[in-house]
Amino acid sequence: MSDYSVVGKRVPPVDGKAKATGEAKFTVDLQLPGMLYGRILRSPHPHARVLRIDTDKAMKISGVRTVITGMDMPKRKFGVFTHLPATHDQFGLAIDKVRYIGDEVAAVAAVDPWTAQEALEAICVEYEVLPAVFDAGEAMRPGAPLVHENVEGNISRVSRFQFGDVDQGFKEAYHIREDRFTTQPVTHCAFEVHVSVAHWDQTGKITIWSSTQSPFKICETLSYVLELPLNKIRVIKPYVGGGFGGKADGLFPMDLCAVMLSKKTGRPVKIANTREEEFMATRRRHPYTITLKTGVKKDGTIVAVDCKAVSDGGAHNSWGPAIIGRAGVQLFMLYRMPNIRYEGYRIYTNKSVCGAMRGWGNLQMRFAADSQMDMIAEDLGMDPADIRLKNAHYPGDVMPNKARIPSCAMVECIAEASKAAGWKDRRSKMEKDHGMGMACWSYVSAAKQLAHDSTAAVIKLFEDGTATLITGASDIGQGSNTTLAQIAAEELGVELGDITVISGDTDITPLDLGTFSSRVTYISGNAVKAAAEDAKKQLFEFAADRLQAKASDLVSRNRKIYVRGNPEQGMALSDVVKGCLYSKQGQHILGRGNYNPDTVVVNQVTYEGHSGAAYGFGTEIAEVEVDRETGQVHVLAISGAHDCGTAINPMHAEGQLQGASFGGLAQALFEDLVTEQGLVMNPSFLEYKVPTALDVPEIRPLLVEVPDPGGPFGAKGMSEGSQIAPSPAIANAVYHAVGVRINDLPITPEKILKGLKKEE
Amino acid sequence: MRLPRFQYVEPRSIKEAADFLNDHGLESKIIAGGTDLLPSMKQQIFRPKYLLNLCSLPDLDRMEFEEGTGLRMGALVRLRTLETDRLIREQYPVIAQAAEAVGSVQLRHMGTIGGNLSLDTRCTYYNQSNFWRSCRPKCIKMGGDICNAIGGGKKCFAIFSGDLAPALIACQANIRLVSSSGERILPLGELYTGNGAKPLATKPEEFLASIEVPAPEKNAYTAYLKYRIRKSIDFPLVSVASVLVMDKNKLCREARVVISAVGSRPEEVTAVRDLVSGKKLDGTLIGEAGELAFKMARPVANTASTPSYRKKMVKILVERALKQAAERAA
Repeated sequence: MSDYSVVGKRVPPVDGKAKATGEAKFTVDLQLPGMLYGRILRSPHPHARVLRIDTDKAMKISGVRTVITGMDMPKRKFGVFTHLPATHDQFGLAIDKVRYIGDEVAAVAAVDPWTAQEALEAICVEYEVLPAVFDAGEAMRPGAPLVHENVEGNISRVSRFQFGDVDQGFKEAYHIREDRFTTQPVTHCAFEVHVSVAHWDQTGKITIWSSTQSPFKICETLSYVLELPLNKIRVIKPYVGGGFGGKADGLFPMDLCAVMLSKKTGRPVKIANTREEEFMATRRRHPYTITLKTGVKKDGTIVAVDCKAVSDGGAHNSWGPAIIGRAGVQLFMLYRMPNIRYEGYRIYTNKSVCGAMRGWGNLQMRFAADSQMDMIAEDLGMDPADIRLKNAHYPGDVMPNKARIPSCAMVECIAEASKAAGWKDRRSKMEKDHGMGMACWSYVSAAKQLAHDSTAAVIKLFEDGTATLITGASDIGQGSNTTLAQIAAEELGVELGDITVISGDTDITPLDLGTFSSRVTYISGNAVKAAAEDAKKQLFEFAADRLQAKASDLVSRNRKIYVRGNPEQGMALSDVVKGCLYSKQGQHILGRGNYNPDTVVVNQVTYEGHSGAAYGFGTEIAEVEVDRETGQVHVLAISGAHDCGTAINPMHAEGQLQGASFGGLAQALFEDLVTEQGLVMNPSFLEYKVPTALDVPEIRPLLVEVPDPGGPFGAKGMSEGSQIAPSPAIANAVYHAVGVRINDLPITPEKILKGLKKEE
Repeated sequence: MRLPRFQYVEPRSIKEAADFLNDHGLESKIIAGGTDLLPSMKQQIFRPKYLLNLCSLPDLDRMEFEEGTGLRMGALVRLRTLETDRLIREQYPVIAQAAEAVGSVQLRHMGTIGGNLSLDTRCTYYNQSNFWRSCRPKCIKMGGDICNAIGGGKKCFAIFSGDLAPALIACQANIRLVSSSGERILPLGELYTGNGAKPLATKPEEFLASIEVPAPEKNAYTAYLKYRIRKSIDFPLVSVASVLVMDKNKLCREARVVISAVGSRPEEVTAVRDLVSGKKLDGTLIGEAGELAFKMARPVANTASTPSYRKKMVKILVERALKQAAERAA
């Protein structure tokens, strides 16, 4: 591999010890002097008009400082897409109606959590219960109750595109099949709940500490809602206990409630969700119903695809309008596809809101498409690996939407995963009721969804050669503070320990959209690299004079600056910094780096556009054993190969890959956020079945490192993709084991037994 | 979610505890580990005025075993002890297996045998927060008059999901209940009323002090099987405990099969006892035994999975338990 001294090294996270020992303080741990405790009163009805809220009794309870309702809130609706007001559909507290069980109705601030709870129970709300709709299909029918009065047919978003000539493609097909797939809603289950501490102080400045993936989005949306300048709002992101997309919205109603409660009381106010609120009133992964028709040539080459998808979005937009489009793009992002037609509907229902979740609509579509890939392979008598190879993307491929794939190691991933799992030699002679299944995936790094994707970094050098890196990136546990420090250290020529990272504070760091869309290593990483380059350039200019060499001939490595090829003759980097600082000009070394990828938001009519900076690919192979009597599926091993570009930190990369495969396995077999008439039936870790350590097999992470031309040191996104493939891989393995094909997730023992019975 | 306010009481003697319950039994809850009670209190299923902790009572955490007479366990013996104790593992493997199947290691360190036997019955519509329950009509178990699990049902079907009870019933255990007016000894099976709304036969002034298990029978083969979704943490969706005693001709002398987690109490499938008695335990007989258990089980839709699936699993688990025993006996 390349000759790097910090990049590519297996180093533990820079904050590992603080987290392991409990020293790290998360938002949920924060206690400020005089802080009040907020709670939110939530709707017990899936759909109702709020007629009257009586807060008198609650206000009289000793220790209650204030109670607010929709009347006390700003009247501007908000949403994820601040630049698209037409998509805004949310208030901080209900003003007209409640739209799902758990919708925010009122908020209290009290001296302790018990009093806050007591106050909630003392608030009387008079509702006019309205007919509700819980199923996306029913919500689309004429006459269905409208979740938002101004939205006909409850259509939150339609995505339609066609590339090539689909009808002609089907005419040329040797074999066509059409199948229907459904997926279930699941939720993120980050260990730290959503929590917000807000203080609106006497100078008129608002400070928010929030467990968020995107402090700048909170800042931006809050500025919009309150009509306040950005410099009057400071959002600080302490250590975050996981997000997985669930904290990617930026501003949540609870943040706004904490702000308004603080405004009224003059005190800092903390609102932390209960675990039940996490399950009932945060975000879910969209459940999909997918009808997929695929035509292939005799050799398995895909000639035409026609897909219709309907997703149940719940009561508000969140990221959903973009996700429904992304689901369609996933189809041709993985396999070459000359002719494709897609129609995707995201529908409002009276259920909790669906939004971003690791994999972003790709997981649902990939379950359908890679399950069907195996069915087609069987119809044609092909090996599932071969049909995937036949249709695989290669570097430089231009997709039907005119987006180019700069780097791609899909073929290598199929080979690596196959080798690790023993696809060729073991699969054909497995024990009875054992099976092996494959699925592939692709995932875009930094898909452009918002008005911009611009970020920057600043690096400030101390006279001893150490440095502070200031980045807008948000480390939410994925380890960006470590990988960005590695990038900075490598470029600057110092050691990892020489870099201290400051991140997650909108007053201090440059703008950055946040942690989502597999963008941080690529986008923020490029900015960090540029900042280090800039600092290095300043050092080289000074050193060139001292070393009597050209700046362009200098190298910085292992804390030393020297003429390339001659490390003995050089200067300690610290001496160069000192030299600059103590010079007549008093030159302080402050490196500045900007980055804004050359991507565009997809054209909303043609659906064309180079909207992704890079694309990652991967292959997962699952090995299962099926118990024919109980129908239980035991996953024995998962081998996951990931084309991640250069792994900045292979240890972190492997952890990401294993975590994502775990999430995919959980969705395939275990998790299901069940609702009955809009009420979540399993809002606890006891009844919502996140798999335990005992339920998860060995996950073999295989990094396939082919540098991407645009990423920092060749890196590209690598945190989400592996979550996509386990569900089709496991479904395919189950079919291989016992001949039962499950098209609706999750794959439960009941469905297996039913399938086995049918087979008899 | 937070605990509602309560007064904490920690009696120092059996008499003190009994006297307290005599005066305040109706407004008290006994805590014996609290792994199930405290979550329920946070959900405001219970709002007791007093929480009576038995942890300071002498000897309640002790076990005694005598070759001839058997085992006596104080109600506060930890589940983790039952799981790991060598004597229990050798003499009463079914008890150790059942203990091992409870919750997670952390929960077993806190949880006690008395607490596990006195577990409240559970239901999807009942084991929820106050807020959650406010979204549905008040159910029978919460003092209302309908069952939300069986739309409009007039009876409570909440499930008994303790792991230890079926194993101990299969071992023919007795329990000792103490009150200020004395003590009474009951076969463990009689602790359970079968009424989901009021699952335990204890009186408000009584508490469970100890459990007595007869000496293990010779040539006995036992098993505890638990069906659940995850390999840890979960309550059983079905569980089966079995004790099979063979005679010297390898014929079945006695078979006690107890099924649990499919109704409001653990129940012995007495028909299996009659079926296999004096017979050789072969595949056909095992299949018939499974069928008998299948017929007896009447699960309803008040937990994860479906009733029809859980009913099928009763049959599968009973067959597996008997098959294990037959194989080991052979």
